[in-house]
Amino acid sequence: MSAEMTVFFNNQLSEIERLGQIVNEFAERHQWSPQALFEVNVALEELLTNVISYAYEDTQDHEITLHLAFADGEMTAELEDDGQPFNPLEKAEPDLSTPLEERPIGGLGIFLARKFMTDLTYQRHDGKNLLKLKKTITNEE
Amino acid sequence: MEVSEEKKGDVLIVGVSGKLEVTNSRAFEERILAVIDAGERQLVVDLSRLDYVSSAGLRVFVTAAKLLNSANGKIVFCSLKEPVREVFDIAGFFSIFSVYDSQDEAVKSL
Repeated sequence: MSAEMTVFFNNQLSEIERLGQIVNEFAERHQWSPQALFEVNVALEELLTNVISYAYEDTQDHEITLHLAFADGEMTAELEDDGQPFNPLEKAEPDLSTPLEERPIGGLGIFLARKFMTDLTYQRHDGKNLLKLKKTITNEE
Repeated sequence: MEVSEEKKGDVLIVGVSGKLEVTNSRAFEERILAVIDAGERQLVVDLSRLDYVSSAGLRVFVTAAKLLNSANGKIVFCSLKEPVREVFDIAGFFSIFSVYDSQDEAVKSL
């Protein structure tokens, strides 16, 4: 039973479905609570969707790497892509006090990812974008 | 993700079940926009069987609500499961949407 795995995704939104399956299997193997699984799933969906949607200016195929690890009650995930420099964490937090008429349609994805992770950081290195996610996870009762 | 529709008087109950995510949110949006286009103005979105929602699904709710607001209609939600409730809470949706514990209460509110 490895507590680490590396998965490669193509820059196609259809990959999000596969991401869900992979995270589900990983969570099951490590007996995460349904709540923890849900939160990790949403955070990774939001961040991978962002990469696929905004990191590439061309229409070529690109490989996005996800490294998942779990040890001592902490999940770490690293999402790496070779797209243009793009730090999703620079995005301003949404203003949740505005009425419906003034609410933008979107802008909640990165906010959800931040809320669901204990720690979320961005680095640009070797021509790649690297997002590091950390989350403290309690096992299923 | 599956979508169901049921008419109760003037109210249309739209049920969405399973996972609402970026890969299927467009299909869900098309369904909702189609019923509004067909003249439905009072919508109850029943989330009793929705296990998963990400920002892609939230976009559809905001889009539908804005559209109905400007057409003198209304959209309300009912029967949120815990993960969906948590997402609504973080997104600040309880201050912009009416959310009910049961479908009956939601229908009566309209």
